[in-house]
Amino acid sequence: MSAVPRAHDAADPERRRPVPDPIQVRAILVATLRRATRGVAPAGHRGRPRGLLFLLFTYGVMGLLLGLLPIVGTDVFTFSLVIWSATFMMSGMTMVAESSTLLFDPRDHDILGHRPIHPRTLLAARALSLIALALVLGLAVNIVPMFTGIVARGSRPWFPIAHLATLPFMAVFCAGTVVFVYALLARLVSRRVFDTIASWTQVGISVVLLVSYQLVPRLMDRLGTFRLDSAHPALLALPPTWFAGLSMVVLGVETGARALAMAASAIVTTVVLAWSANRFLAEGYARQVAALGEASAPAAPARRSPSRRAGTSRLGALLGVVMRDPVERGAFRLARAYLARDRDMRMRIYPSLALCLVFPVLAILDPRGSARMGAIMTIFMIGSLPATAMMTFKMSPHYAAAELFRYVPIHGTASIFHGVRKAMLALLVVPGLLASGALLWFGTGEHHALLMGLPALMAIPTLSLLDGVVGDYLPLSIAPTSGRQGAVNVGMMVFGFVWLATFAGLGALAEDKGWFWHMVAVEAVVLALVHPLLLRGIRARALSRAEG
Amino acid sequence: MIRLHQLSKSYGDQPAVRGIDLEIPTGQLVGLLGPNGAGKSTTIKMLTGMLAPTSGTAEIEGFDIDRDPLEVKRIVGYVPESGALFDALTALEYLRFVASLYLIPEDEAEVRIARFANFFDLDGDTLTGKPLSAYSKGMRQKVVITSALLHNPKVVFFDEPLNGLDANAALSFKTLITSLARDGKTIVYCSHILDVVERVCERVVIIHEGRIVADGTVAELRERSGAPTLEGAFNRLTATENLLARAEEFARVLSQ
Repeated sequence: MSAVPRAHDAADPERRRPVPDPIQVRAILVATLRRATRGVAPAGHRGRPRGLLFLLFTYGVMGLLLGLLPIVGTDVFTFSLVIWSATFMMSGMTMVAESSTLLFDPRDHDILGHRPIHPRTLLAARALSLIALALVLGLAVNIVPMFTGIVARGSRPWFPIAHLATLPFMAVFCAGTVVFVYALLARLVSRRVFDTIASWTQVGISVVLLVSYQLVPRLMDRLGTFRLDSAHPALLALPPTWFAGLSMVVLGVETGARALAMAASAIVTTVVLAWSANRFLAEGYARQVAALGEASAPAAPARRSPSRRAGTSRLGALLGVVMRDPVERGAFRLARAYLARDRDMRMRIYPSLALCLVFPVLAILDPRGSARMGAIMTIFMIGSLPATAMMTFKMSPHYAAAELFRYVPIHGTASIFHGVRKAMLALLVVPGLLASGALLWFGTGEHHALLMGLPALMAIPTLSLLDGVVGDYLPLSIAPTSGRQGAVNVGMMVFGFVWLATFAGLGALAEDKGWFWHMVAVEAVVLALVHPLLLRGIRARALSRAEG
Repeated sequence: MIRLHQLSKSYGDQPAVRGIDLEIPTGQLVGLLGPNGAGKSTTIKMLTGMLAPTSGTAEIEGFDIDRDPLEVKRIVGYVPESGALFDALTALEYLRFVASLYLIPEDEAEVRIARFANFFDLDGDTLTGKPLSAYSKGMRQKVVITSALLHNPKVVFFDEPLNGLDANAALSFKTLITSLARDGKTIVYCSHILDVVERVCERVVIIHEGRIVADGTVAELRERSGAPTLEGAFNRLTATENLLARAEEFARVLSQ
């Protein structure tokens, strides 16, 4: 009779595996990357990572534009610093946007929770997938600057090698920071608190990344001479400077104590971040992933207080007045519930709120800068917020439930679209405008500056209709795949900048010529014509059927 | 009445449903069976207006699924196999939301929700006190079934409706669908649990590789296939007769 195979025995030295287990790390990493980069496609077709490809293309174009700097005589350190600042900001923002999919997918627990995987193995695999994404994104941004850097003032022919050698450190640093912050939170707080603060932490990280990115050119502008030896102390505290220092040391153009200290900071911080996240924080991370996979556990049914019940019924009555269409009211309530309660949705949408805070904060931090520009930039950025949030609201792990919209008797998605749109305007844009307006009003004292944002403010309701014109608007209907959220954010940021440049230019010109109020009047007329046309286009569109 | 004429669906060059002809009179309770990938769900999705057929036509209560998709959707209820729900909502919020999509007046919706909640033993605290993500599979399925029946449809498609239901809830559900059929609703019941189909369905249609391979009462299918049970008839009709031998071979290989 053959021996019965022994059950897995962790104490058996022959079965003891290294931690993290490289075989398991590789397997999870490959599976994660495949799942993350393959799009969800109709039956019978293979998906394509359209979001990721678009993101890489956009980053490549941004890199191309930045890569032109040496042509106008930029010196090699400045060029390197600008490129690493942009890489840091763009990769960091995408890491933050994608962490919901790559680090905290609740489906992970069903698939991996019952397998013999050490928490450190799981965290290592997840962190490596983020690093891989950071590397690919970093490469897209740097592919052109890597070569144009050769002609920067004071550069050397081996600039591409020095730059490329720094890139993996930057990728590990970006991914490591995100993993470290979340793993630390996961270790320190309970599931319920984690759900609440994770999304606000993302807003915080996004603000820091954007403010840092905006601070670099301002600090360099004050510096006058662009050498590390004489750099402003505040500049030395920013991580992109460390990586620029590392590039300069590898390139051999800066070998002073400061340059060496910067290079050492880049390497040491990266290693310490990665090591400590994996060594001390893995247990907490695995616990949170397990908790996300479980049903949320409100043990005691929440009894609503009379005041809350009264508040809900008042809101219901108000919605009944503002929105006559019951489908629209239903969609508004759906959006409100997801914005308030769904961790995944909050982690995707709330970082966009950073846009409301960055420019007011910069206007306060940098009083020499134009508060007027701060106001205009803020309102224009908030102008792109509804479109970003509307597109993001299409993505959810609950996408299968959105099949509902295809078998209920609705002619088109106009009512659903308007319900969600009004929720985004009421719950994101209005609070965002109030918060940034208050910061600018009380922080800068330049009250006239706020008036300059009026043309942008007027256009926000019409701009928020654009997403409804391009196709069926089905909320929560798209499976989140890697790169998709980043692509939405970048696409909308580009859109925001284009509309900013157009209207801000016209506004500034009109004010200089004394035509500001004329311009406002013309805009009001144009909007009054375009808005109903867009509404009619959205209302006329019939719901298309799925192909597979 | 549900009427299908040469209804077909292909994904690229891969056919999923191949020219199905079928008529289901009003008030009939029909079991739709077939192995995995046979084309059952694709057929149901075409009939509920979710998928466009590649060719052929279908009518539900006189409405063409291609020309009058909204009329079809108004009279059809559907319990999808996925049982997916918007997890961030409470059950009450979800059901109110679905009611709004069918334009059921709010006070009427409350009455109907309360009636179903009572039937499925979902108390007020359960309906409002926690999000659907905190529900057990069976509780979720009760909400899915309620949401499909809330608008009092004339035709109901159930795709694996017993998923996760406990024995008592399953019994209540079986009683419910026979009552619905008695009240004149047409019901298409898709399941892999053949003994339930055998007990509740007056007619069984078996689909295999996108085609109807059998259609009749349970007794007729048993007689035609020469098998003593519906399960036996199903095995013979869908070419899985050597299942036992294959299972034994698999177990032998596994223990080597």
